[in-house]
Amino acid sequence: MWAVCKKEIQNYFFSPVGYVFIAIFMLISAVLFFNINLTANTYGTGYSGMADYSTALQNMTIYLSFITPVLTMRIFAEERKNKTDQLYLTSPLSITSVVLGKYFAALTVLLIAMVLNLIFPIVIALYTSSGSLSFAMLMVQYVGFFLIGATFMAIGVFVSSMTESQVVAAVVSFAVAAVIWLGDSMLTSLGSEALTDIASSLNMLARYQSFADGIVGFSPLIYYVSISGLFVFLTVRAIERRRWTGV
Amino acid sequence: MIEIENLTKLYGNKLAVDNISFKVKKGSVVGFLGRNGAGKSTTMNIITGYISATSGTARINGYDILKNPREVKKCIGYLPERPPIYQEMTVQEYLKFVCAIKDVKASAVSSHIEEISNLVKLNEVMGRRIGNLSKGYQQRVGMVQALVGNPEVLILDEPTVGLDPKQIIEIRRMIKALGKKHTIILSSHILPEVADVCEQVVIINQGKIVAQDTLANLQEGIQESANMVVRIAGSESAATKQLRALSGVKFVEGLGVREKDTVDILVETDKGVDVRRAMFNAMAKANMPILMIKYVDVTLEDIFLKLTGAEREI
Repeated sequence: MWAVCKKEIQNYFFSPVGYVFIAIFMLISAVLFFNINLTANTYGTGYSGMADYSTALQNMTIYLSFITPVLTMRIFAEERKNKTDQLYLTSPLSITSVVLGKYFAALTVLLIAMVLNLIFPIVIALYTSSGSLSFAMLMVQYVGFFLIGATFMAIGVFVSSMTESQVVAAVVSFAVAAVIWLGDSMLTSLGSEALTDIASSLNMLARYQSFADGIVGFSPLIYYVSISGLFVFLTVRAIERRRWTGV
Repeated sequence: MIEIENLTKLYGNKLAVDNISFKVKKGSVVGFLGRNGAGKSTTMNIITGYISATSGTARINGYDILKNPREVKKCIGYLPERPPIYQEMTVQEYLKFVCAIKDVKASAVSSHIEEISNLVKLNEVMGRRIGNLSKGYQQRVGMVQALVGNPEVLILDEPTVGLDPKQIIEIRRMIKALGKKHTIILSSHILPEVADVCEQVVIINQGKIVAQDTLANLQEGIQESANMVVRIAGSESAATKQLRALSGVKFVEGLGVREKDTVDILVETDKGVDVRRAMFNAMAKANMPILMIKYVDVTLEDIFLKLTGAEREI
């Protein structure tokens, strides 16, 4: 598994993909940082000059869900198209370890981006009175941010395993992210209790709230981990299934 | 060593492999012969565990590919039709990666890579990106990949496709050398290749096995008579008359004039009958010297075309 993980991480940085992801990630964070933390005006954002990074990070979760396909779209689609999947599917490796190896590689790139992202709270800490930015709280927020990212990555990996076209994988992953963000308010507005329940079970952002407040909630933690686990499992099943059907 | 029993593969409604069975003994080199689309790659993909059969079993060393995939995959090296190489990696990085996923001990990796890449003379390109290598070198990288971990069985799907004649000869020579240590299944639609490299031939057509035997037996089976072409200085009518008079000759046919004042004639005799001395004396007596005698062997191509029901173009 670690051999696959190492190779995939190398692959992200041999090709432009890893750099592109980190660059977009930093660009969007920088814009949010400027709008929310630096400027005193409230145009569009509703925030101004906040001496706290949690709002910017919370906003970033939405953009994160739309840029994760950059990392995940090629993960299986490309191998299937180039038939390089023949290498690991005929090796003694189990499919689970291949999927996990690739998934962890994508998560590593996310972690690298998040470490670079620390520059923004550091800047806040340098220019505000001591104590206004809680380090512990910030870490909890980053944990939540990572979990939400990991969930979207797992969904993206699954989508990539279903197709051999990277474009299809990317577009479907975008669509899934959009439905997750927008579906909640649509289902809730229909007024049915059952639909509202479904909506709240889909609502990833609501679960992030406790992390944003600085609390590592057991239930949101389990929520993100189990959804990620579910999609990793489905990916393994999808690859296994294709060995039988051949399509 | 390798036992294939009643293997069938359906892609939707399309029958790609139709109930095939064959066995390969340890240490033999088997040619898997068929036209494009006959089911060669599908069969190989099933044996190596890349895809699963719809029904039937494939066993290697007694292990079933479905029940003990890990054990089977450990003893197989596979070179698919398209070598599974990563363009952006260097040869060295790629082979290290393959060693890691094929459970080669970390301490033995460097020496193992050196050893197997020596076999195909890959050493001078170890540091180069695979994507920048020529097709011939990429094929060799694929070949070395199959050799990682010294598997007992090598499965090579059209290993010489797309190579230039010199490279083809090199790869064939290499396969022959490897055949001394490994059990090899080699697929090809190039007949001389199989004739050159393999001891045993399995011919597959439209998903079915139409013949499996040693090359010598296959030739024997199809060859009911011995044919030779003789070139004689003289006229066709006189020469054929003389030849028909010889005992043991079954059939004589003029093939036309290829060289001035001579005639080429096809002479067919019963198998095991040698008419050359009698023919020489008779023609010398008639003052029609024999300038050439050439036996016409049954080629694998003849066998193949006969078995797959295709017409031979003359």
